[in-house]
Amino acid sequence: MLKINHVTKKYGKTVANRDISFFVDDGQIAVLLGPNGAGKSTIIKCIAGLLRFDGDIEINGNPNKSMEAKRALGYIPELPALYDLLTVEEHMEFVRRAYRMEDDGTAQQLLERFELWDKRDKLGKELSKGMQQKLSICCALVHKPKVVIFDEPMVGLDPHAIKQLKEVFGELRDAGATVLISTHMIDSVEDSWDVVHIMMNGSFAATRQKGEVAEQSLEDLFFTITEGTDAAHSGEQKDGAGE
Amino acid sequence: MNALLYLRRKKLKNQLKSLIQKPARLIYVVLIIAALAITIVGGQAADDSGRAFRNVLELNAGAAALYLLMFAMTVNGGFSRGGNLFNMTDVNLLFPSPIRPQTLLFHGLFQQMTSSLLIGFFILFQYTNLHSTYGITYGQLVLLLIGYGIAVFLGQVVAMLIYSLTNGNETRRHIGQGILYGIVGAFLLYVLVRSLPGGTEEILPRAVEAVNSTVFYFLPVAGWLALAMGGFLTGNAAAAAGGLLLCALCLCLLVFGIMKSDPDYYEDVLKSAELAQNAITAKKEGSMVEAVPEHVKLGKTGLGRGWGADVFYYKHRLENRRGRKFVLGTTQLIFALTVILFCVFLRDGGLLPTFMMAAYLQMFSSFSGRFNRELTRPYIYLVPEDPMKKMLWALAETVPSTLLEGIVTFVPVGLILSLSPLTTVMCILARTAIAMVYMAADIAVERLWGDVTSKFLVFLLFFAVTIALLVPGIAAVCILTFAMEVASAAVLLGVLTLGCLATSLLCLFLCRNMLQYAEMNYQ
Repeated sequence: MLKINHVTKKYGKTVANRDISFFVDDGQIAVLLGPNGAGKSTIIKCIAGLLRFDGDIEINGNPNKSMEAKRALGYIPELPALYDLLTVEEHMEFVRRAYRMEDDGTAQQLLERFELWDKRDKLGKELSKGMQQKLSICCALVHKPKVVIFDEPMVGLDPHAIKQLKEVFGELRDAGATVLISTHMIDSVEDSWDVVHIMMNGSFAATRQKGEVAEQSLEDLFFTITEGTDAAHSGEQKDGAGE
Repeated sequence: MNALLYLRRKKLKNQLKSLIQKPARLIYVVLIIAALAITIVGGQAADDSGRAFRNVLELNAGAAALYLLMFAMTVNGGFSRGGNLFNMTDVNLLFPSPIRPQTLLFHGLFQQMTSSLLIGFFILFQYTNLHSTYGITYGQLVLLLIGYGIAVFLGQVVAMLIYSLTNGNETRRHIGQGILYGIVGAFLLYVLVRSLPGGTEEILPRAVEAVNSTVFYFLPVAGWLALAMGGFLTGNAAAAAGGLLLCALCLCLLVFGIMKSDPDYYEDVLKSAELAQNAITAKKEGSMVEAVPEHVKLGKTGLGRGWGADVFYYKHRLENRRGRKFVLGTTQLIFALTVILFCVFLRDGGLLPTFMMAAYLQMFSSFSGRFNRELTRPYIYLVPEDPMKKMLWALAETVPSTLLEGIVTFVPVGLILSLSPLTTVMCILARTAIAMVYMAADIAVERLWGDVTSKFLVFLLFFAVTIALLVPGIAAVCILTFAMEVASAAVLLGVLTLGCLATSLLCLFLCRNMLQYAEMNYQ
């Protein structure tokens, strides 16, 4: 369970997040959508405890900076933050040991699933951007978190990894985990989402449950709210402008 | 207007404008200028009448050693990544444009010339010491700086040519490296052979003589610069002109060589441009790029140890093992060598200038510690462990490596200055205690002003906190020296060590929850 209560984050005079409140229940996938600079990554970093903020954030009923909350959280950053001099397998061992988890084979399963097992002895600095992103995802999942927050997880992934990740979203939901995904790639979460929050200028412009918009695609909903038009209409306008 | 001229003019204009728009940067520049002015005024104010200066050729030998080090290191880098003449913006915008490659090459050379001079800016701060020891003028010091710039600049051009000749061919690369090491080694051997006969007291004068000899002047670039700078320092215009002429001729031949061997040199500069871009991107994203060896020897894999917070310590040990070619990192070794050279040439000034130099350089090496890199990644914040424990374990690896740096630096310094074993040990301990001050100041800045985005302001704050933490120890030393007339260096260093340890440990204790409340360094 993830509860965000009146969170405001300022950088000097710039308000990145303005009085944001939302709730993601166990077994639910929430999606944050919004144009560049809307404040999606900022709220994700606030939840992960990487930024100071005003307001309250609870992870599984505990303040987000508490040990219990940290133990329950898995965070996939926007940019993979790996260690140049650790191998793929050592990254997994490092996270596992840091979270005091015995080796129960989860690390190997995750690496195999994301086609990294055969590269387990490669150093972080030798991995391509896509592989780094895959390893970053594996690191965040190896301690079996109950709440998982993804910041632009699809960037740089190959089709196989995207397919696997979509399956992971579903599996996490089925296992009762709380999932929050911030993304620009609307079609990548089209089939998975339960609730969508559309952000603009640091605030929520709209929140919709899947049942409320059964006839409308996520993309149409996004453009309707952010540009006051639907996707098809938006495309027509662009075509017209090009002529 | 010519596009490249427009680009240069606009860049310069925008850099000046950014000074006005970012007051912290302006303050930084003003402080640097003020510090420079103080060194000039301080140096000039000294009464030189009747003073016996040391042989200025000693300084020339020291400068030649620095030139050789910089030139050889830059050229050696060329085997793996080429020259640093262009950045990624040049690659993306200028290379595809209809501008002749030759014109662009000169644009790159001009850019590199400017940055080579900027790299050696620190030399200007040595004016007071060098003026009082060797009696040189400020103009001569500027010429030494220009010599440094020429060494780095020619090193870059040679690196670019080398990369284009050896790129993708391991045999050629090994031959090239063999030639480089062979030439440098032969000249170093020559200096060594000429220095060793005779007593210990004769080593330095003989080494100086060897570096200022005709044979050494045959050494490409460093030797020619030794000839030119020796000419400037002793008033020998022919020697100065000769040395500079050789460098200019070398540049012409190198440019001709690049254009002849590979007029399509774009691919050869791509790797270094990408590396430079990665460093810029990492800086913008708040992470730090570590200078890791190109071919890392994996050795035994797996952490094998660590549970909870202490896993950071074992991870750092593993990273240290893989990240260093020697027991110490390249930066630490260069700093140690710089301090030792500084001590050799300023040994008449006693221990104080050398110790101050060591403490000053340490400030930059402490910035590159693993803890600082850890702060730019999320794991240290996310791991569910006590924040104080995480901080201490993440800092733990710095203590043994700082002690080792101190030993590598101060054992030779102790021998050069004929210090007692106790004083040498106290120097090592005091240097370690000062390293803890830098570390504590860094943590205090992160804890208190973690959300300050200006790097310049962060540096100023770091500087202020460092001074505040150093003041009690320095004040105690001053009281002992002036009020109680204690003259024992070992005692004074011991008091400084205790003062620094007390303030830094107190600071670390006060910042114990830093990882709980600080912001991840994304700026």
